[in-house]
Amino acid sequence: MRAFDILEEFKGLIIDVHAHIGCDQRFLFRLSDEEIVKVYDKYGIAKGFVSSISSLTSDYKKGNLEVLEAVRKYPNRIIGLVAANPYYGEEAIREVEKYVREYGFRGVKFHPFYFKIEPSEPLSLKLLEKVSRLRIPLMLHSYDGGVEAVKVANNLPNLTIIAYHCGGVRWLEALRRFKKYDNIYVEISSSIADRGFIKKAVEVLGSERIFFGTDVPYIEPAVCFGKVLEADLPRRDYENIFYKNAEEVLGVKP
Amino acid sequence: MIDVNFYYSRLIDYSCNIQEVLKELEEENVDVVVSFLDTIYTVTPMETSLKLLKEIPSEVKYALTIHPVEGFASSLEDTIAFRIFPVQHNFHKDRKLLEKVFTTAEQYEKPILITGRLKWGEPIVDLKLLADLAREFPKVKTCITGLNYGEILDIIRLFSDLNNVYLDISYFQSLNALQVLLNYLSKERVLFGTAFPLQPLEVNLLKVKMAEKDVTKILERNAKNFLSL
Repeated sequence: MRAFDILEEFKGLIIDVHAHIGCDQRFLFRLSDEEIVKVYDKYGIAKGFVSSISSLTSDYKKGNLEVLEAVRKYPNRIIGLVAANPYYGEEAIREVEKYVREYGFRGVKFHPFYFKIEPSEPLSLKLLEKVSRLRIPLMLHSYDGGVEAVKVANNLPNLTIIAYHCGGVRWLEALRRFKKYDNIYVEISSSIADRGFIKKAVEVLGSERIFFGTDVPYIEPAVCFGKVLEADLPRRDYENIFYKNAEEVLGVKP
Repeated sequence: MIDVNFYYSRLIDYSCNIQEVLKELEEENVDVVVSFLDTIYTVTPMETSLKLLKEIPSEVKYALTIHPVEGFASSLEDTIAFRIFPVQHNFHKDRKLLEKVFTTAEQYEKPILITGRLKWGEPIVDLKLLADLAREFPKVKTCITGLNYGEILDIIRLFSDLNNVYLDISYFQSLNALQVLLNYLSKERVLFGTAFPLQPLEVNLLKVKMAEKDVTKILERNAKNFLSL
């Protein structure tokens, strides 16, 4: 299949902006730093932005430490994302600042479902104001058609927002909603692999605003690659999605 | 391999040149069992299946949609399997109607392709009820298509000891999906599926291509067993 030749061409250049290490017993997932690097090797992924499952579901301090260890072990393959639940107030803000300033983490992961709070609520915005001042991107779990991402963008116009999952099932609605917000980008991973999704995303936002992500271990990279390759895009668009946008917006080279 | 979760459709969002798609699959050594997607919108799904059947190449294997209320036509002998859409046809919680399907399948000695999930975000079938029926009808082979990792605990709890229940990989999207199903369900009861045209072919072809081991023979053998080929 011609699509698979494209994957071969980009081997070693691809940047994954969405991945996790850790364990999620609800789905029998367990992925160590060593294992994620093996997955990356198999698919030709140069490096990935990683947060810990624990930092989202149970203990962010413990989870962030796991990521720090992984970053130290694989500095050329794993880029740290810090997570902190806004209910912890100043403690959460200090955690984010510490991991960005002291340990060089490159983004903040926010998961409304696990944190039990929307990012547009005042308590969250206090944390996100800090993220904006630190000039790092917010990686926002976005399964609501992009409603919350837009609310955050209205409140914090200088914050770079990467809408993970591109709104979920309501991806088309999200694309239309994001169109006029230059500071909102989308990441394409999720179980949802509707035909035509990526082509439509390129049509509405342009390939300059689309990032490749896998969301391992929740999603098999084949799913994410499959939907991108199906789009049959010009080479320039594939370059943007697979690594150039990450270079330009996130400052990370393959 | 045989794709057991492949649909033909004339619906605007899902229509395609079936000859071209089949050719593309043939190049990847994939054979298909065609089901008829448009039957989810009709009150006479079998009749609609029979009409659509005329539009696909005659040598292709197919699964007619049956509905327990519609009744069953004489042409059931030629279908390789039955396809049911319990959620879309609103009998997923109706034990009696599902029993009727299982009874018919037993009578005609046909396996049943059960659309477990069709579109993302929609409800799925009642897995407990299907497990109960599979236990009651041990000779009837079923394949529940479209389950995902969110159902993995139910899959283990309900189906690991039911040798007549198969699952396909089309919507099972977690890391190492294929290996996970082979390990936790059974090496004998995992089938290849693409969910085309709802999902691109590339997704599941790549899952197989990137699997740790060459699983094409396992998937092929399992499909042949399921379809009694």
